[in-house]
Amino acid sequence: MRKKLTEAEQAAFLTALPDQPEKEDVKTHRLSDFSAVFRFSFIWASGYAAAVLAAIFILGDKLLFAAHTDAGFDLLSNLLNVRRIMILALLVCFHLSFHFQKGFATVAIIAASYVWYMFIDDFWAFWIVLEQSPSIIAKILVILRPITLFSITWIAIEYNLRYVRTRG
Amino acid sequence: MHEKLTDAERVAFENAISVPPSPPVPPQHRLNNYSRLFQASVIFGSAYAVYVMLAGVFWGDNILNIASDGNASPILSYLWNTRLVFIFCLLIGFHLSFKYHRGFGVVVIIVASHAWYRFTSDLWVFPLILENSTSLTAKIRVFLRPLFLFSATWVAIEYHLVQFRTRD
Repeated sequence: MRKKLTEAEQAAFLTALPDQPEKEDVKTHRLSDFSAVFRFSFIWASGYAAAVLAAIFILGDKLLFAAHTDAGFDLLSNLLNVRRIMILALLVCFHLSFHFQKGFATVAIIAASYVWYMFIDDFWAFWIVLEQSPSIIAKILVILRPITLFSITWIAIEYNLRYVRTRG
Repeated sequence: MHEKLTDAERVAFENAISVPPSPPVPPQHRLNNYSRLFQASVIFGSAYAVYVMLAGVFWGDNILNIASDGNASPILSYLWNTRLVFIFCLLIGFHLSFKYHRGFGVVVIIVASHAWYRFTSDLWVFPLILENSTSLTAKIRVFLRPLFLFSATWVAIEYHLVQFRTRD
């Protein structure tokens, strides 16, 4: 047969119980939590990627400098198509991973390294692709490229410094 | 005048003093701290990179397939040289950052994304560079490439799972 606890016993029992930890609020991952440079970089990089995609979709191969041979031009045209797919995929992953706060640190590093690879390839190997294009849009994109390189690199650095810690 | 403590007092005094915690021993960062698959991946990935570099240094443009179009070869040659510089820098960065345990998490993502970037470029844009080459060295390289991609990706994944967590 169960005995009922007296009030004093009940109070002692409740005091002895460890406090239940309150449920932590799920942290929201908003752009406004970051620095002004991060916010600017985020918006700039997304805008630049969207502008490049729009330029490729609307103008296509007209962006390229086509004075070379047909074979060389085909090569560059294929390269532009691959870049279009890559940029689109990275842009989608970038925003989704930021929004859902899943793997954004990795995605930011991958995006930054892709942007640098493309820049270095263009600088050393494919300087004819955009730099010598007669298209004014291509020229604008080339002029604005260094800001994008800085932006995306800064996003990767600030996010990793803020959120990623070693287990050790 | 100092009073001498009795034995009992001394014992009580020594017990009362908390033992200062010994400074934590920094964890050793060795290859054998990781799984067999990680070890094999690091060794294979490094050997593959060295092999590609040696092939590039000794055979140079002979590895490239220039039979299809002579005019495209300068672009491919520039691209090939760019890759050699990249591979060399990444190999050095990979081993130094692993040895000194500084920034290896970032370097390994850069290495893996570089490997995938080159692979997608070759698959869609430059299939003629190596896949159609008459060189046996190039064929071996192409044959082993999927293993390298797996290795680089696995090293990045395992290292991040073992070493990193998000701050919250």
